[in-house]
Amino acid sequence: MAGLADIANGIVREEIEEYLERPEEISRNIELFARARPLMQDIAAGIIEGDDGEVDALTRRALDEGVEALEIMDDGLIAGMGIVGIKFRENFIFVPEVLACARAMKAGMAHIEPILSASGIDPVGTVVMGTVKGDLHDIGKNLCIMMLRGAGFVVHDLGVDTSEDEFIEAVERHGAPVLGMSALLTTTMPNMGKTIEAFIDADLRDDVRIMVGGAPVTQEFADDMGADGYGKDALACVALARELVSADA
Amino acid sequence: MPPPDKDELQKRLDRIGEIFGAMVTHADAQAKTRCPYRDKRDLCTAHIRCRHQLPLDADEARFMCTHDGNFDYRLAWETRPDSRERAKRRIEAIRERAAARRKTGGA
Repeated sequence: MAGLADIANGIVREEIEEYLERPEEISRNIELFARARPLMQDIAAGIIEGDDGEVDALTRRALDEGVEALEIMDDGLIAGMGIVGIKFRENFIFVPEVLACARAMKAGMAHIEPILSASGIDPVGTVVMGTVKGDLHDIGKNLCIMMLRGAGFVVHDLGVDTSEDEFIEAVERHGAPVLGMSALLTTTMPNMGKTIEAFIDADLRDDVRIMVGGAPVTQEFADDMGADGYGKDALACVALARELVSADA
Repeated sequence: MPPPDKDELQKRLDRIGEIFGAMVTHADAQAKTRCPYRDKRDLCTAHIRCRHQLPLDADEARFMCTHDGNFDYRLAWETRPDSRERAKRRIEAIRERAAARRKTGGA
């Protein structure tokens, strides 16, 4: 039976010791990391620390050294994210830290994506996401993006305070069949309607399915604006994006 | 090196989806008592101003979140019927103006 001392990476060792409380999770993670090669432990540590630069470089290095993608996912990326999930569940970390870890995960997965394609797993679809003009809230949008990427979508994040022209330019540039807009204020929510009208004016409305979400948005508002769908949370956002992509196919 | 088995890769992707799914479910529940912009050090990470922010530096580069936790973040912007009505009227006006503009061929 492996012990903590069998884990080479100090960060992983400390994380298990300090934050894991359930005996089955402690023993499972000790076994996992003790048999994982040090480079995989380092990738997991990068994920736990939310260090996207480190995960990017280490994943690249692992592939260059001939480590298989499945091993990198199992013992590095997923193993690290598993610890993050436990820490979040137990309230040791919160949404801002989780989003940093998700960014690190994305940095690693960027190197895995070509291998997925080579194995016949293509992206589910491409989505452009942004918070509308005048609105600087981004947590809900970022959680949606994390979920969409986890579900196999390619997501282009335009950030916050996004103008109609920026949405149009991004949808055209990426050939995205789906656009997601977020707003958290009743004062900025009408800018979703403005953006939809801008797509009509640009003669692009038939080329893109538009989904909307955010705290003040409801199905009724979505219908009033002429959106194609409304997602009440990040889980609904993924289901809706799948539906819109398949409707488009 | 031959590409890995598609089904094996898909299992890993499904596992990532499960982990993220559990996280957003927890995030939603947590938002009833804690602002999602508040990090583990109780610092505010939002790029917006909020009355619960306490500046930590003279240049207001960092803010401490001082909220007591009695708060449902998800409903914070949904509780004023008058502002919702205003938004509804603005959306209607935007659509009407756009339709009229198209009808007259204006830019």
